[in-house]
Amino acid sequence: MENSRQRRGSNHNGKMQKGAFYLPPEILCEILSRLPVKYILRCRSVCKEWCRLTLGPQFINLQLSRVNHQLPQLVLKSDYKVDLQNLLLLDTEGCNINKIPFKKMSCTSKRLNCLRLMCSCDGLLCIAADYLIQPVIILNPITRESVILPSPKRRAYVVSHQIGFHLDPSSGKYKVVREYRNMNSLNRDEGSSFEIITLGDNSWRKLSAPPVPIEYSLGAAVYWNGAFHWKIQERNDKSGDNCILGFNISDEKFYTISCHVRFGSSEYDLLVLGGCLSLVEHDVHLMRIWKVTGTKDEGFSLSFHCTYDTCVRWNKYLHYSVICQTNADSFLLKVSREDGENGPNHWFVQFFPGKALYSYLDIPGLPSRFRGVYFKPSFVSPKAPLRRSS
Amino acid sequence: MKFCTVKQYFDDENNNNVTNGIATTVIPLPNKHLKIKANNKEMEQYEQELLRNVMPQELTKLILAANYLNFKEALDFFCRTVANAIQNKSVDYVRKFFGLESDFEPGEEEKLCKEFAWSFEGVDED
Repeated sequence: MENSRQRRGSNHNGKMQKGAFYLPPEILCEILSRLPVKYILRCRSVCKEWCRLTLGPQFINLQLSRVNHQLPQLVLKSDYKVDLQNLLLLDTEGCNINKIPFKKMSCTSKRLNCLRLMCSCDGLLCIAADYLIQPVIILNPITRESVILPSPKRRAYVVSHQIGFHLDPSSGKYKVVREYRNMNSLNRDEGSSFEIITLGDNSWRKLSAPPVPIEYSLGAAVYWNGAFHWKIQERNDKSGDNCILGFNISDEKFYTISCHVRFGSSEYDLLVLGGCLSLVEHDVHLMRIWKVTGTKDEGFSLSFHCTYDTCVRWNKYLHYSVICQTNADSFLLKVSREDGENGPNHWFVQFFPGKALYSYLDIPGLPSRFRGVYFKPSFVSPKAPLRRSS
Repeated sequence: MKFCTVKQYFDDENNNNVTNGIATTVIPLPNKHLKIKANNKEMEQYEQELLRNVMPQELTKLILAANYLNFKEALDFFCRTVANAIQNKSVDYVRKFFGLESDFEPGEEEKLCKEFAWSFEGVDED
């Protein structure tokens, strides 16, 4: 509780500033943490006290807790070679893009423009190459701090590389899990290799193989309920059953969620919708949503949720992926159209299944080809990851 | 109880933080809040009306009053209002708002501006 404060008109150094009204640091934190990160950065230039305040752990935690309740933004990286100098911070609500220069952000001399955005957590981005297992960089594009994860000395080329990155709620530390398929393995059974590292450790640890053989490269990792999940197709092609591979971040154990449904050749997205891990099946014009139900103890299973008619006959030249559910009656989709020699063209639409309506998002500065990840801007430092209760 | 400190305030004659004017604004807030709590839009309008003619300096005083009175909803509201008032404004505007002066060494501020140049794009006119 605040007692009577006679320090009106003085700042932290005791200098009298004419007309200054003293606000306790915790109140300044309350005010500044409500601002979008762009303006918080700007406020660092107001005076030294404000700069110091926004760099402190109290402020960083407060801002992070606020941004967790907002709709996530997206960070995009253009696929065009000419425009690889910037990361694009996309606010889908306001339909605007901020370009964040990418060039001098990392402590590596490696060419950043050949790296891909893998995933993000708490405002930290994980970027790595598709065909090389190093470097793997954890970076905060807002504060421009970055850390290169330890890597083997040998330059290893791989067929595919997928990374999951998240806070382990039980330890308060960030963990990075990756899967790659070695180009040199002739024996198919060797297939995917899994490794894990805790941010701050000196080396990756190999994980024992998951309980199901993995024929094809994994898709992107989706974090839900304390575990990373990937959609995989089981080796036994006769059954054509798919399943979801899960990896618990705390006890570092694999498990599977079987689908009991033949998806055949349809595409599907794995993502979190309405708090549930969901599979969105693309069956020509139909969008079928399956949700994972159950508990860790009793076991998970996939159950049918609903079907929407998208009223468009999607095909290999025109297809979509679900980015998120923006609210109860609309989805944000990324649409991709093959443009012949020019390659694919990408854009965003809002899909309203109830009204069978599409709304094109006109976003100035959106590149015509890009890849992106969910992002919640913060000031968390990859160098000093904070121990905090989630 | 929202007003455990009110009695102390009235007893404390040397309190400079909470002038009478402020007290008449802050104290009736909870009743109003309760009355129109269900209707968010009405609340917004009430709040906008309340603060339309309030000078920035008054806002900071209101914040201190709400903080002293341990009145969380009012504090939350005032902080939100200040944040909205300084959103996308220039650094000079923010300084004037809080009555602050730059205490950076020459060149330090420029360095910050250069490093985070993207955050200075699209500033609102003062």
